[in-house]
Amino acid sequence: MEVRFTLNGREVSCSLVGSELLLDVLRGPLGHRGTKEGCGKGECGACTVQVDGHPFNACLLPAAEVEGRAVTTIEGLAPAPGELSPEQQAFVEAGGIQCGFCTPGMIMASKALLDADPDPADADIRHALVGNLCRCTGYAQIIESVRRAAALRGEGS
Amino acid sequence: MIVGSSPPRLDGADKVTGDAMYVDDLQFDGMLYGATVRSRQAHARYLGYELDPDYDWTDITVVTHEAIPGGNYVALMVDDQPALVSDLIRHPSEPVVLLAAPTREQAEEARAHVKLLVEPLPIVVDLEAARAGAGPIWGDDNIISHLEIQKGDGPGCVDKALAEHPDAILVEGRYYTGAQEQMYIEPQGIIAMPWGKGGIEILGSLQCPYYVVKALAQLLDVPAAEIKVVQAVTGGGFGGKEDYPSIISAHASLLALATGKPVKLVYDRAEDLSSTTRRHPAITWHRTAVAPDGTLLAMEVDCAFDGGAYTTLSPVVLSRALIHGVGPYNCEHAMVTGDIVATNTPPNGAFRGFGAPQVCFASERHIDKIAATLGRDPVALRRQLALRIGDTTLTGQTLETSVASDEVLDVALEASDWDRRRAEAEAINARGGVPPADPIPGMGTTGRLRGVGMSFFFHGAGFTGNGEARIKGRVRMEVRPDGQIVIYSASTDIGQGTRTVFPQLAATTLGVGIERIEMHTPDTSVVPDSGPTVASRTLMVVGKVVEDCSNALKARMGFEGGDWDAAVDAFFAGGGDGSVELEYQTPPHVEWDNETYQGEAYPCYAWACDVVEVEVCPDTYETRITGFWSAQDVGKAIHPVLVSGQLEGGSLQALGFAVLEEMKFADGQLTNNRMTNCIIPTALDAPEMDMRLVEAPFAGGPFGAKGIGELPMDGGAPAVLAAIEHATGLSLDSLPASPEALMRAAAE
Amino acid sequence: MSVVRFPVTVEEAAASPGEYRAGGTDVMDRRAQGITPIEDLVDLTRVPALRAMDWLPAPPIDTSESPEEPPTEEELTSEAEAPTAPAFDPVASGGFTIGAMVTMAQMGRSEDLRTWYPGLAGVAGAGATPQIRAVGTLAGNLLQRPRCWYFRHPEFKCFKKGGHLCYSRSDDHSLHSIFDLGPSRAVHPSTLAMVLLAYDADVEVRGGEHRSMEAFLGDGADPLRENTLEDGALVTAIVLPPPRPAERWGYKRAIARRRAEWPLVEAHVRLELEGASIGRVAVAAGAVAPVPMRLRNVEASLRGKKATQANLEAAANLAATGASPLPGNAYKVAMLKGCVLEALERAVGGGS
Repeated sequence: MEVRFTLNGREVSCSLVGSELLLDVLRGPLGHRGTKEGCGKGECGACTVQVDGHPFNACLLPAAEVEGRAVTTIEGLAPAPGELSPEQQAFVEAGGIQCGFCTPGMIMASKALLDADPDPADADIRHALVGNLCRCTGYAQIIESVRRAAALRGEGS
Repeated sequence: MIVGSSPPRLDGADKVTGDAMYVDDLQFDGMLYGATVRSRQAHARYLGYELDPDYDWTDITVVTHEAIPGGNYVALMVDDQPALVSDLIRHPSEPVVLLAAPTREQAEEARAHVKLLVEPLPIVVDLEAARAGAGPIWGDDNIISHLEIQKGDGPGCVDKALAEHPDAILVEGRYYTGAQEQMYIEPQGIIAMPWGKGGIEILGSLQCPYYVVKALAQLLDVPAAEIKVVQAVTGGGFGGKEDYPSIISAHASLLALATGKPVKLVYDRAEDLSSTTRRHPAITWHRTAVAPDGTLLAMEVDCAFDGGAYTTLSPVVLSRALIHGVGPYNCEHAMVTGDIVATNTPPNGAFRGFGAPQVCFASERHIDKIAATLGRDPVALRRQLALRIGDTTLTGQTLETSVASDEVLDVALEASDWDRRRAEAEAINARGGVPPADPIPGMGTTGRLRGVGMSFFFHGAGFTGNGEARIKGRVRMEVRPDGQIVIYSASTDIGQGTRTVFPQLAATTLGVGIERIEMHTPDTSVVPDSGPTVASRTLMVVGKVVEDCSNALKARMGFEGGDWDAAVDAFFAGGGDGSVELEYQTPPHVEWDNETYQGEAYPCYAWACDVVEVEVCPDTYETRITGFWSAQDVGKAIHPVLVSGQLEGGSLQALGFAVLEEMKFADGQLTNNRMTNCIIPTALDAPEMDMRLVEAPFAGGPFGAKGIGELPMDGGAPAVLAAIEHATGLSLDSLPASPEALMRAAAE
Repeated sequence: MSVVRFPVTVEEAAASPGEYRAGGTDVMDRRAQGITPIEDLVDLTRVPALRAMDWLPAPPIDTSESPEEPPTEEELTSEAEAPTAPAFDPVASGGFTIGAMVTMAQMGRSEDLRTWYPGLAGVAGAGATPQIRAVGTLAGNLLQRPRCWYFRHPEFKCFKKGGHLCYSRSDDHSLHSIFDLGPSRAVHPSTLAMVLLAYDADVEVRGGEHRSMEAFLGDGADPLRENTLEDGALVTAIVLPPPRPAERWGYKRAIARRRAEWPLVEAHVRLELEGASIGRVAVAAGAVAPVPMRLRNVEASLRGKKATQANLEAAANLAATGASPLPGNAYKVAMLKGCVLEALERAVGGGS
């Protein structure tokens, strides 16, 4: 079986034996290892990617399900090599990263929020990130990073 | 000056783009995948194993303890923990048989086809029963380690004080804290590869590369130079990746040697939770003779720490616990005792705080109990008893410098507007509470009871006593002809920011831009042994050596500012040696007797005060932490954003410990082995944090900085319980203060 | 490696061998952990017929089956004229159907549900995490297996996995049932099942059969299943009775972590006020028994009474009648009363 979908704006295809998960296909044959596995059960959010703009746990999603859909991963955010997207820039500047393992998923969930709501209140940010666990930061600097990302996106638009 | 500013962290871009390579992201040609067959029995005689004859074992490599070239133990402190079980199973997650297969799925599948032959033995998992000698399952008394510290009258001091002071009051308490999981988001993992002539190269998620060298050289019976350990980008540790990576490295190495191929051994979450170390469950008993004016006449503190099945680092955990046993308070006479008790559970180990959170919980709850007994204000009592310059600690250390007790109390209480906030909470409760703050459906309308509580605590920075003199942490720095400066250190960045802060120290000391500085990857074939990345020592101790190296280079080059490139050119034109390697110089005043536990336990302490506001639902006893104010003494904030992030992250771990983190066991086996039932706080559970940095400089640290990695873990839990008590009148002496625990307390 | 099949019609799905996969949040986990034997998957995400959400033209429910008194014409009229009630939409008078594969996020966003069945939309839109709500479906939520840590742990072979004991009875059972309805003490994991029980909803099974939630959930006695659905049967939709414009609702979930954790105890209330008195009322509770429970005695005690705090408390105090807790979960008795009281207060006080 062959699955075809758009990955970070590029058409890709991948042959599947059966019910391989999107996470394993991304990290394996497609070589996109920026998406992390922290629990494999949809409990930590480290594998969050956007599918048609919505945040999904790639560890729960059979790759066959993204046929014809648009998948965005952390590798698809930077506008050009050596540059950072507003979300990425904000996380670096505001201390939203420590160990970095939750970061790709955290940024993808934040981006999904900002795509839907360009100027979220703090409570909205907390609700939007409730599926992404971080053990390093206590979340304060992550929330500050999302605020800053919203501001940077506003400047850029 | 770069120190004191917050440049973007130097590994930031890699981490936000997905370029950072964690161990599971690394691939090598021909790499195999390992799996570990575990005991599943808490206590049993191991008789051997059987491979399912109907399963195809063609591509599977099987390794047991018989493949170990050296001694079958994981070298750490005491050589009691086998790398693979050979005869006796002591806990349910013991590694027994190792498998390697071409794919992870095959390795997992094969694991289900290995049968262990065992003869079950009676198990002991209850801490108090074990301490009373049940079994015994360890020696003749289940005691792995015993320690005593005395001050003044020592043994019997409380009864003596009561006899001498007829008006003295006896206050007693028993305090319990359970196991706590580090819950780094990246599960543990190691890749081992054959290296050189019979050696091994390790790439992995780890804190202490040289621990792994020591363990593997012994296990594989090769010189240490044949072992190369390289840290991959590491997704959090908090102590959990201090010693356990040595075990995974041992297993991956045995499989790599058996197959001649790279072997990746990465745990899934359930295996990580069930098998690796966690915070020691502990019971602490307090007996205190208190004078009517609040003076602590004499204190007896006794601790039982559940060590699990092997020694590992537990004696050191006990040592740090007991030194912090009476808290940051003056008390002339004290007797502090403790045991590490063996049980048939996986060994407990290092987790941020390293024994201090357990005893701090006990001593802070106990101080509140004393205040309540005397009818004293908890803050006023703490101010009366707090250690200050010139006072003497439990170990007889007279504090001469860098004590911030008044500052942290003043700053935190003012930031939180303590008096007004306490009074307001009481007024609100008298009116029936506050409407629930949660704006979303799912909350009732009964008024929530508000409460405000606080804690005051300290944490010794760096290794205990003469530890640093023994470890002799080293750093090398090199100036290259192109003007770049490279720092070689075994200190690992596990998220806390070492790879940014060390360059800040070097750049500031040398007077060059931070872009001139590079950090070499921690690779034991290249970097010197800086000592382990533990004990709040990396910045204060190893960072000091970075500063020393920088000064030495600067002096050697005669560089006094100005054109760095010209200075470098002139230096190398003159045949200069651009490499300097230095060892940590213990401050001259450190005198410590490891037999009597008397003397300078730590070169300095970091001080802190937490204030917590909670709202408790009187119908269900759910607790929401609605406010958090903290003042923490960091000596000097080298990088304010990073240090605030450390303090906030550590504080939330403490708040989680207080209200919702709990590990459950059945016959020693962890039952809540996933992230939706072994829970940690989410973004919705974290309160807004008002984190104030206090700077009481420590002359022995770089630019005055002191170690604070563990400090924020110590005080959150007792402050939360004090706040809950203020709100509800329920005085809990155990953690966590979950809704079920509070409902049980309310029913009594 | 197992196979995933993608049927596009309900009939194709029924003819495909394998375990149905809806949002996958439970099935994928059970399969990965080897908790229950699952090989091939029948993925239902491409069956458009299961994704519909619409008003029904005619009353779909034979209300005589409902154990509750059907509304009289008078009641409906008087509520429609109540000043606070939205104008009653005749299109809605036939009830509302939600396809089995509608996600929790879609339910939370649906204007129809938010306006006319706010108690359902509110709970569906706030559960779990954004990632789980994006994939988790209505029927998948109803049919998820329990979250009991012994059941979910490969090392414990309990009743639910064909074993011969319920570990919770002798080991830690702090999260287990206080109503002893069968050999297993694991509690039902579905919040939506509890809410739909309070809504007197029907489950539509392939072939057209409608089964009331109560009949669908069964009595909780069989440890091998948490409902009465036959092996291989397929839930196609949930059918809600006509909306009650004057309805108020309240939900209370007792929980240590604010999201992404299964509740210790939860309760859902729908009620209508007639002046100062309580008229129709439905109260359901979850996480206290192997199936969600309607608390009929609480309802009976409220009906016709003034909505005073004392009356709400008296009714809530009946919530745990018949409970037989284990030593370690006796706290749930008081917590159940507390949750019911909070949900009642919320329904009476705010209406949402």
